[in-house]
Amino acid sequence: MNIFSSARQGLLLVLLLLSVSGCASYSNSFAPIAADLAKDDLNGALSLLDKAKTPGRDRLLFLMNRGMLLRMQGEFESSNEMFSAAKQVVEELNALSLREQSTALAINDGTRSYAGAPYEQVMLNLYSAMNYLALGQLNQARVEALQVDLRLGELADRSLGALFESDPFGRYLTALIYESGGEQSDAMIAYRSAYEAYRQHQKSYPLDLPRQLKLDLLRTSEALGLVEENHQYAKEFDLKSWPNSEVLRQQGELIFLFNNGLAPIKIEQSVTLPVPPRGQLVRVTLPAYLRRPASFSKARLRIGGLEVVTETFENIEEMAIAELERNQPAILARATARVMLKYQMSKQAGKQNDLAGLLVNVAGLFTERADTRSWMSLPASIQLARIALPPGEYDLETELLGPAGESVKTLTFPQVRLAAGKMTFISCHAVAEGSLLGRH
Amino acid sequence: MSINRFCSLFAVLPMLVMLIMLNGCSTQVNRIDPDEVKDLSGAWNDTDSRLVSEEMIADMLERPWVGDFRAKTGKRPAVIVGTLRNLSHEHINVNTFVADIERTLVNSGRVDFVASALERQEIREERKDQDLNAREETRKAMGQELGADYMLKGEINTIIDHASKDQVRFYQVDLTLISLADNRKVWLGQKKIKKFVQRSKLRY
Repeated sequence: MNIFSSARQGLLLVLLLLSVSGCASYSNSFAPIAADLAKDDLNGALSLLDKAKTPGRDRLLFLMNRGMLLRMQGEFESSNEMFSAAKQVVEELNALSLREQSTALAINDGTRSYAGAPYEQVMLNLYSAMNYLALGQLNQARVEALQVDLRLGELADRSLGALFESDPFGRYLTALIYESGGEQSDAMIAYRSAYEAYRQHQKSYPLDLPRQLKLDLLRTSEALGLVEENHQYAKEFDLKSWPNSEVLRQQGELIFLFNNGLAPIKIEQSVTLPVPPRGQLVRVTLPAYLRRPASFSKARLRIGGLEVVTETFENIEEMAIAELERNQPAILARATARVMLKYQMSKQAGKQNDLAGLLVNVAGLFTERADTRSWMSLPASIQLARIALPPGEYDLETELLGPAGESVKTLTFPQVRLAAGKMTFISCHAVAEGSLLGRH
Repeated sequence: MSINRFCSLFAVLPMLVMLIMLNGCSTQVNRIDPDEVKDLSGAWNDTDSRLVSEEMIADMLERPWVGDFRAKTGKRPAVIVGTLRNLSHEHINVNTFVADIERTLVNSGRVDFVASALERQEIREERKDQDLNAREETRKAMGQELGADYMLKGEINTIIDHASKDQVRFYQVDLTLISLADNRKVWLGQKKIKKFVQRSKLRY
């Protein structure tokens, strides 16, 4: 047997493995962009994102991040172009690719096309809807609301014993869209689904049922004449009074959306072990979430003599962590299968030639990387406040509160126009202390 | 298998991969007839827009309200297209649909057609401009517009049912023709489209 040629064979195998796997962890590559976001430098973040080479398999992430950054800049229309392209990618990736599955088994999970976690797919529709609401295009937002219903229906279908087959904020936002279009009964159904979604999510992580949702359930059930349901809610929530639907219709409503911080990032955790008797090394890597500390806890709004503090409607951080925990057994199973395969490969190569065996072993170790991809420009949580006032123009003052409830930064939104029976949507995304993004 | 043959296989493999990739790179363009039915994703497309508008307007013009109006007034009815609400699951371009309706209506020659509110504004401005700048004999007077007798309104609704990767998409387009004089509904049209979409379970 020719020693040289078998070493060459090993080398070729190594090169092949290395060329396919994107070695640098994805979450590392996003760090400079996040740093720009924290510095409030949106243009810098955008140009970094555009300059970074995105492989085809990460196209969805590029579109999602680009859409988010454009949104923070107030470019809602271009942002929606990104999101709608992203939705198309999700649709295409719905089908299973055997080629990618086998590559993932031989190299690592990161070689697959990224199709987005289920909650991220829902977020695509929600942020599109919020863009349309910011543009005042209620009919288009309604289309997104229907797509949210459809997507949540599909998620419930597909996953067996799914952790999240619903999305609390998703349901709530659709309820808002229906209600602002005067569709009370659709809104009621969505409020009810939101309530169920909160109860479902509460089983996995701590999440308070927003007081606002309680009031909405009481008000809408009363307006629709659902007497028994209304009494039941009143008893359950221990609330005696809530705004009257008729009175509310005479007023204008401000819906303030506070996107707080950034979603957690995935890091890599690995174990490397020698296998006797030949001492080949095997390595198992798994992704794990790392929380990004939020600089702000809540936002306090002052408008027209009222003072309201935002409530958390969606805890993306906890959702992401719970979702990964649920998927961990499957990720571990794939990693174990890969360890076996790579071990066999290096053993086979080693039988022919020690050097080849070593090379294949090293390549196997090198390519064993965790899939650390996720939509990292999402906020850690979405908070909301809903304020009703007589129609007119108001100056809105927003105080961002620190972890201990101290006021850290104040923002003003001058001349907010509230019209009778209409909802006005304002949102902001705060990334780090002293840095505010996407004021509009 | 000898190792040499194994090696040469490795040399050939990248070339094959490159050939396949290059093949995927070239853009192909084939011109097709605008009337040709080409369903790609199962979403609402140009064919749906055209079929629905043609069929519904044909039905509308056959109904007795046209004859009734002529018998009563001796004139052709003047129609205007109002809002067409998209209540479906998709971002349907309502404008092309409205344009299709307008075209079919005008070309039928059985009704007069009034420009929409937005178009009227532009024309009024032009008339104002004529008042200042155009020669007397070519000037068009203001206050001579044709008022519409009927307004066409409508909505597009969808119901989507799904199981795993299969979908049944049901579209219902409702159009209503309302008399501007007395709010009477003189014609109700409905067109349904049902599609069964099987999404592919495998990709490359």
